[in-house]
Amino acid sequence: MRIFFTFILALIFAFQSWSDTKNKAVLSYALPSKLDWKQLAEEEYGKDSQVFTLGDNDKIRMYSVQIGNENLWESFSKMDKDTLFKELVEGKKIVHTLAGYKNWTADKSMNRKSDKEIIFEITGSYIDEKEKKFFVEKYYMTPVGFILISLDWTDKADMALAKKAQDEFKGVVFNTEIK
Amino acid sequence: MKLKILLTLAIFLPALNSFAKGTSYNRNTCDKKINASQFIFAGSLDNPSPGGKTYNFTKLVGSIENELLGGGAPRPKEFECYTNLFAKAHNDATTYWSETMARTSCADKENNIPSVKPEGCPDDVWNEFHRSKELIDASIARVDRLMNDCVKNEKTGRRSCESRNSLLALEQVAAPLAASKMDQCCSLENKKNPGPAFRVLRSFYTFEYGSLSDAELQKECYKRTRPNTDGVAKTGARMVGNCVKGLIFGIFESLKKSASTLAKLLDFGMWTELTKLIFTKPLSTIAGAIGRLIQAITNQVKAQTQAFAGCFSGPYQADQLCKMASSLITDYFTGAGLVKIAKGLIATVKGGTTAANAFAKGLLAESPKAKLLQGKLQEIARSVTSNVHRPLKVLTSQVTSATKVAVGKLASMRKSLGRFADKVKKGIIEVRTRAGQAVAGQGRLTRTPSPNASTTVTFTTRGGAVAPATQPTKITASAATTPAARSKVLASERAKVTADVAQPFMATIRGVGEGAAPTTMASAGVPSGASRTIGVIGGSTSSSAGSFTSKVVKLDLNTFIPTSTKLSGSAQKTWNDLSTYVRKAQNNAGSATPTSIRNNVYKGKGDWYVSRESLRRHRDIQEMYRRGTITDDQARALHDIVESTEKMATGIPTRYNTSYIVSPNASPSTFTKITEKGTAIAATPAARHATRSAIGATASNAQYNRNLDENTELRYEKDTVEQAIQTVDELNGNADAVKKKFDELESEEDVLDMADYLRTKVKTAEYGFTSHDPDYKAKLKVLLDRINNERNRALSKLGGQPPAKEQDTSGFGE
Repeated sequence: MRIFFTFILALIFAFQSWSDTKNKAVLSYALPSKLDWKQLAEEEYGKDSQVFTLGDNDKIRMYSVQIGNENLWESFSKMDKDTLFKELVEGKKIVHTLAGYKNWTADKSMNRKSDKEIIFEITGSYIDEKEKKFFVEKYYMTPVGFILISLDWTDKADMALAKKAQDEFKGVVFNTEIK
Repeated sequence: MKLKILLTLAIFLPALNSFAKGTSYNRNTCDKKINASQFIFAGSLDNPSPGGKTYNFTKLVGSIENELLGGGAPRPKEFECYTNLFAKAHNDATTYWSETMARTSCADKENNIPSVKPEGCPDDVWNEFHRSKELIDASIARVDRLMNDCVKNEKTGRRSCESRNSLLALEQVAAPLAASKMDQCCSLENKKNPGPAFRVLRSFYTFEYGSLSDAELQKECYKRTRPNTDGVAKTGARMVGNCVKGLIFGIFESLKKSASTLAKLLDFGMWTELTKLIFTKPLSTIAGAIGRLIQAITNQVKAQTQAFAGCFSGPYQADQLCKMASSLITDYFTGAGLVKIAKGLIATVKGGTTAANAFAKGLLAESPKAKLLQGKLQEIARSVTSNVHRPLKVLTSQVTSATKVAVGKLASMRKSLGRFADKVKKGIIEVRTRAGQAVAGQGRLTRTPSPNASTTVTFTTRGGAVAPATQPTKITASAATTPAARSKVLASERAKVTADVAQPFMATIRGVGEGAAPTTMASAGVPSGASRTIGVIGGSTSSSAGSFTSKVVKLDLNTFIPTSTKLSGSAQKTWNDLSTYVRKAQNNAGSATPTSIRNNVYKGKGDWYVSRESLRRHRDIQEMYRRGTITDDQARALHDIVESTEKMATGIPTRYNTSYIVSPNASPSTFTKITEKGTAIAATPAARHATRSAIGATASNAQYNRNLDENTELRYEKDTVEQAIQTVDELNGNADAVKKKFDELESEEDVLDMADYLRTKVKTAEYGFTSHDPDYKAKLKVLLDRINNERNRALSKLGGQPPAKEQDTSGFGE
C-alpha cells in the first residue's frame, strides 16, 4: 500500500522580520512511502511531533519534531558542516556519557537548499545496553525554526525492512510556506 | 492604699494552667533533646520538690530566644522542650513562693501578697521573693516579646514572628491532614486556615484549579474526599493512568519547549540526543520509569502522602498522590537547564528503582515547590528517631500539635493572668502539700453512664480534646496556713478514696480466701464458682490463700509474644511499654499504700477515678488489635490483664469497652483460654498507614478519641471499611497482586510494614463483610496466608529472616 505522508506543521510560527504585517511560516515535510508505517497517537506525543513504527518488534522507528527557533539559524548559516558537526557532537557527547552509550560514530552532510533553508544530515550508530542502534537524522533548518526528523533502527530489527525504510527516508522533502 | 501584688503569683500560674493541658516537661523525650541541667543553678530536676532546684531563667529564656532568632530554622521538638521547661520553672517557683510566703506570714489571709511587707514577715524572705519576682518578671517580658511581637535579630536577620509562623506552618501542612471527614478536610469555616484537602488543592494545583473560586474549589474538594465504592479500583487505575500519561506528555512538552530558545549548538546537540532518547522508547517503558519516579517521590515525602491518604478517598487518593509527584516533577523540568533535564530524563528513563530514588532525592532538593514542602517538614523529620517506625504522619502530628500548644501557651500567658486572679479571689483552690501530693489531678476522663456501672464502665474522652474545657485551677497553698480549705477538700476526697479505692482493693486482696470475688473480675472473664481464682497467666494457677503479694496476678507477657518473635520497632515499643506497665502495676499492687494508689489515680469529671496510664495501655491493646498484631481473644485477655492489674494497683474496678473487637466474645474465660493455649503471635510491624484511628486510615487524635467514645459498631467508619474492601478486592482480583506489593520493596522494614498494612486492610474488610457474606471470611483467611507467605519470601530475598515459625495471626478467632 502506498502512503504519501505530508505533515503540515500544527505549530505555526509567527514572525515579523519579513514584513510589517504579521506573517506566518509553515514548515512541513513529506515522505513518499510504500511501507506500512504505523503512527503512534499524536495526543500522547503532542501535535508538533510524530512518531511512527515499522515492523512487528518496534525496532524501526521514525520520529519528527518541529520547533520554532530564531537563534540557531545564525550558526547554521555561517558555519561549515565540519564546524557544525563538531559543535553538535560536543553536546551529544554529554548525553552519551550520562546514558552510557558506547562507540558513537557518525558521518555528516550539508545541503544548502536556498539562502533560508539548510538540510543537515547525520548518519551513524552507537551501542546502548549491548544493542547496536543506527540512525539517520535530518535537520531542516530555517531562520524561523527547524524540523528534526530521524530514522532509527537496531541490529535486532528486520534488516531488509530497515534498508527499505532507509531508501525511502532519502526521499523526505521539506518545505517552507509563508502565509 | 494597700495594693495587692496579684501579679506576682499570676506571673507563674499560666504555666500551671498549661501543664493541665498535658504538655508538661517530659524528661523521657526532652532529656535527649536539651541539656536541662545547664538551666539549674542548684539542686536537681530529679528532686520532686518545687524548692529542690534553682532555675537559671535568664539562660533558659536565652535558649528559647536562640531557637526563634538563631541562625537556623527553629527546631520544633527543642522549642517545645525549652518552653515546657520554662513553664515548669515557673510552676515550681510559683509553688515554692506561694507556700513560702504563706508559711512565713508574708501573704495575707486571702493568700495574696501585699505591696507592703506584713508584720512578722522576715526581711530575708521578703527581699529574696522580690529579687526572684524581678528576675521572673524580666524573663516573662522577654518571652512575651518573642511570642507577641516581631523581634528581629540584626545579626542573623531572623524575626521571631517568622519563626513562630514557621513552627505553626508545620501544623498547617502536615498535622491536620489526617482527618478523613469531608467537612473537616474541605472546611472553609476559617478562611485563614481552611481544611487540609482544600489547602492541598489550592496550593499544589494552581494551574488546574487556579481560576476556581473558594466555593467551586470546595466542591472539587468534596468530590475528592467523598467515600465512594462504585468502581473505585477501575476508576482509580484509570485516573492514575491518565496522570502518568499526562506527566509523560508534560515531559515531552517541556523538552520541546526548551528547544525554542536554544542558541548554542552544544545545547542543540544535547537536545537532539535527549529527543531521541525518549522518542525511541516505547511509551510503556517510559510509563514504567515515570511510575518508579512517582513512587520514589511519594516515598520520600511520606508525611505528605500520608496526609493525602487521610483526606482523599477512593480513586482520588491515588490520583492525588500521582498529581503531587507530577507537580514536583513538572516543576523540576520546567525552566531547568538542559544538563539538569538530561540527568533527570536519563535517570528516569534508563535507571531502575535505585536511580529513581536518587533522582527523586535530588529533585526534592532542588524543586522550589518541593523545597517549600520540605522546608515545612524538615524539622519534623529531624525529630523522628530512626528506630521508631511509627508513621511519620503521627509523629508529625504529635510534634506539631505540641509545638502549637507550646507557642500558644507562651503567647497566652498574659491573657491568663486575669482569669487566674479571678479564681484566686473566688477561692477556687486545690490543696497541695509541700511534697506535691495532689489529691486530685487532671480532669481528663469522664464516664459514660452505664446500666450497670459497677461492672461495665465505658471510658470516654470529652470531644477528643486533650484537656477538658474547664480545668480545675491548681494553685498551691501551705497546708499550715489554710487548714480550713485543706480540710474541706480532703474530706470529700478522702471519702471517695476510701469508698472507691480501698474497699474494692481490699475485696481483691481477700479474693478467694474470703470467697468474695470482685464483680469486675467476674465480668472480666475469670471463671466463677468453684474455679474462682486469681489466675497466674502463662503459668500455673493458684487458689490457695496467702499473703496479698502472692495473690497478685503474675503476668508473663512473653507467653503472648516469644522473645524470638521479630517485631517492628513500634510494635516492639508498644509491647515493651505494655510489659513495663504491667510490671509496674504489679509492683504497685504488691507494695500498695494509700499514697501510691492515690498518686496513680486521676480524678475525672464525676466521681470517677482511673489511671491515665491504664487507659493508655487499653488504647495500645486496641491499636495492636487493629494492626493485626494480636487476635480477638488475645486482645480481650490483655484488656483483662490491664484491668486486673489496674485494680490491683488502685483498687478501682474498671472496664474498657471492647466492642471494637470484631467477633463476639464466644468464650468469656479469656484468661483461661490464653493460659491453656499459651498462644504466641507472629511478627507484625507497625502499620505505616493506620495508626490511632479506625482500621486502615490515618486519623487525628481527636478523631481517635471520638471513635473511642463510640459505643456501637459505628466506630469503624464506613469509608474506611469501604476503602479496605477496595484494596482487598484488588488483592483478590489478581493472583500476583500480593506478590507485586512486595516485589519492589528494598528494605526489611518496608516489607514488614507492607505486610502489616495489607493485613490491616484485610481485617477491616472482614469487619465490613462478615454480616453479608460468610464465604468472604474464608477468602480473607486465604489472603492473609498469602500475605504472610509473600512477606516471608520478600524477607528471605532481602537476606532477612522470616519469623521463627509460622503462627496463627489471622485474628479470626477459633
